[in-house]
Amino acid sequence: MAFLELEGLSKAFGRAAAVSDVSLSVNQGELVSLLGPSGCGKTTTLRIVAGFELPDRGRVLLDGRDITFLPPERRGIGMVFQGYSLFPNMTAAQNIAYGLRVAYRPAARIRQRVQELLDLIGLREAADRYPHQLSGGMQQRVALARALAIEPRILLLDEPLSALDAKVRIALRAEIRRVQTQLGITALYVTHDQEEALSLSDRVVVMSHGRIEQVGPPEEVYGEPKTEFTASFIGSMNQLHGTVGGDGAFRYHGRTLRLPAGAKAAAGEAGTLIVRPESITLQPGTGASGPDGGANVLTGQVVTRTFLGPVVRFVVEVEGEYLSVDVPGTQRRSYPRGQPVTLSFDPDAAILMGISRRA
Amino acid sequence: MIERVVLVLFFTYLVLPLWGVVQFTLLDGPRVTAAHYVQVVGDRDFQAYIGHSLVLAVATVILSVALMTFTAFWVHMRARWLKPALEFVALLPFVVPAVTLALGLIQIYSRPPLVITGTPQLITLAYVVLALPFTYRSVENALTTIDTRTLSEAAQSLGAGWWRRFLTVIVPNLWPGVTSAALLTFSLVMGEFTLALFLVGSAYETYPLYLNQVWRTDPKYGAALAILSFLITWGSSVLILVLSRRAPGQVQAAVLK
Repeated sequence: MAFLELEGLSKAFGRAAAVSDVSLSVNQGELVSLLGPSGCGKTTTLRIVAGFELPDRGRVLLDGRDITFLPPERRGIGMVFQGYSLFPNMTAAQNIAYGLRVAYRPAARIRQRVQELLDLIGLREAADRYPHQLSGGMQQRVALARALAIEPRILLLDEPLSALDAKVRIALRAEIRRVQTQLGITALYVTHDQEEALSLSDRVVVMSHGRIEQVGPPEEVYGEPKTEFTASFIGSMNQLHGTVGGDGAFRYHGRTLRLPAGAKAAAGEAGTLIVRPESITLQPGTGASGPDGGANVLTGQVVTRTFLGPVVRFVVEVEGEYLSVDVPGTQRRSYPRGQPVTLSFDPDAAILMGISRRA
Repeated sequence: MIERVVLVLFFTYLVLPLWGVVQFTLLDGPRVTAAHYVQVVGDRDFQAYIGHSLVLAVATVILSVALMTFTAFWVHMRARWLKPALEFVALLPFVVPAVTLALGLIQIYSRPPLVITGTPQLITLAYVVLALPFTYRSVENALTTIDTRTLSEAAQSLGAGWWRRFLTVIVPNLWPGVTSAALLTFSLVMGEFTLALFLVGSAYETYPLYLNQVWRTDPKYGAALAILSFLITWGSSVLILVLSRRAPGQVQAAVLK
């Protein structure tokens, strides 16, 4: 049995369903992130696990014990909030010691534990500073230490980095992951930032409209999205809508594209071919063929060019639709607006989904 | 430049009447004398009545701040739907004239089961009601300035029960609001006349009642007492401010956030 089990959780606020029939198993020592846009139910799910919300239906089991109706203060959870959750009237050290004081641990033990945690988060020198004397990143590190001080059975993080600037965010998410693996603690991490979820999780739970869309390791959720929502939410995706022809190939605006190996679709069915911008290669001119004879080839005209740092993104008009193509920033060739280009991609880099019989 | 002119006008407006009263107490014909202030030293009544007022003010501050801080926090966290009702009740003392309030209280508390008219207890309770608009507003503003819910939930996740959260996390961070509530309530009680006249009168005479009585017989002495009461109230206010600065709360924290 998994360490944390969510069984059929549902919760509505008034008439709006926030969480619908969410079931999830989290193994001991695993970091699982709940990913989705705002209003998808990820925070409500976390708050049910924390005990701040009661589910209308379903159960929460921690280490085999039903804790659905246990008050938050008796669950032994550590929680890191979005921001400004440090007690302003206490120093960093006093904040970290709070949970231990509440549990009436001996003073010497508290002092030792606070030192350990300050070392763990690398903030020994900030022990006697008040929250308003700490930067946002430092505050969140103290908040993490405070949550870990009580040796919680599970660590809950509610968008802990969303109030921080980009650079601190990236440094801190690596640190959270380091601390989590070092202590081997089970963690549930809520975020709307797909890059954050992909970079630090053992598994990602993609949520939308209160439901789970897909659960899997980051590579799987990114590379093999099971639903159109997952495909469009995780990274950028080009969607080519077309039909499957009698020869088993995909018809897209009169062009014939090869389907990925193993795609299950019968002739006459409509579907969407999903291709990531980085899977498409760009070449000048419309006469060029693909890198090899087996590639899918489309032609179009460059509409915009956006420099994104590591890559340059071109938007190309193909048959009246706009497709995004990422070219490595190191590639020196540029394509001016209006330039005719050839797009090619390996059929196996695409995914076919949304199959439906044409009415 | 304009700011300075405005500032000077403002202070003139505030200080001029006081200065007039001070002059009135110090001048005896062309002679300058401190006789009226010296007279206070030996005045047993003065000591007794200022004592009464201080006791009532301190009791009211403690009772109303404790009551309203807890109530406002509870409504803020658990019963948001009660907020409009609480806002309304808190404004009532502004709407109901003091005389009406006094007569109502006399009606109710002059017959069994609870006969407490003329006692300091009754007037303290009446003052708590009178101070409601000030205490509630101050505390409520402080509650919305800090992220009360997150702080409370953070403490809860660390194992703290309701009272512990309230006393160790919420109250210290409401300190600026609590202080201003205490200050307003204190000065309100020190100067209150109408309720004191109706509810206790001579049974537990307060300083404003004594002042009124002296003023009729000896205006110069009355004016000297008025100036002293100003100084006492100001001194107490400064004392409250100093004490609250030394409290564990980081007063700036809520603002800097």
